[in-house]
Amino acid sequence: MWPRCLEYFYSSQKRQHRGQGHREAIQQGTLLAARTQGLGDGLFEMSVQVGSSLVTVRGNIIDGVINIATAFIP
Amino acid sequence: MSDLTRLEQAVMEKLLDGDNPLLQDLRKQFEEIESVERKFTGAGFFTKFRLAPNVRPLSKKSLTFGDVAATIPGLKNGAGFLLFVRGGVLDQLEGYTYGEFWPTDVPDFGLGYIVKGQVKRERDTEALDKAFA
Repeated sequence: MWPRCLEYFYSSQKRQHRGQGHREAIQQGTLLAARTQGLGDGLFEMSVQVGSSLVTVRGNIIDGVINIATAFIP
Repeated sequence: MSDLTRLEQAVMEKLLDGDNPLLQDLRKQFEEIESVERKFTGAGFFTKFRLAPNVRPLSKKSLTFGDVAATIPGLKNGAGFLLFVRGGVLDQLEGYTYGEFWPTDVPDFGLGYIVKGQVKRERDTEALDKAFA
């Protein structure tokens, strides 16, 4: 199973919260981790290194499509 | 806290339920919320809390957690929530979907806890305690 695309941070508020650079880093990190771990459909939570921060990413894989719902530093 | 929606109230009570001392302190803070400001993002919401000035902050200044999930009519994949603690006090609640638009009205919902990617009735208290340590 390979993710076909990523949907992330639909709202302007979320973009303001995390910043464009972080958004792309989180997307790439999540995609890489999903590939490495061979994640299947369903809810997921993973940690992604973004710069010096370990970011927790939550989302759902539906029919092989990764939907990132939110990301945060615990 | 009458300014909270029924969903927000229920989610907060579920998030703050438990014996962990930190949860007990946060429940006390929750009783001191004076007002809220809510912003919808399209895919969810942020509800910012304003607490009474005499609230005692936690020794742990920054914390983000959220193991509560909701089933909501109209949301095929349900919703999740995050609670932000900043400066040792309750800061805001985030509600989010998994790629769907947040419904304009939430008259009915069910809540559970996310445990290892599955929604369960019982919380993984060990994981929570570890996160709070």
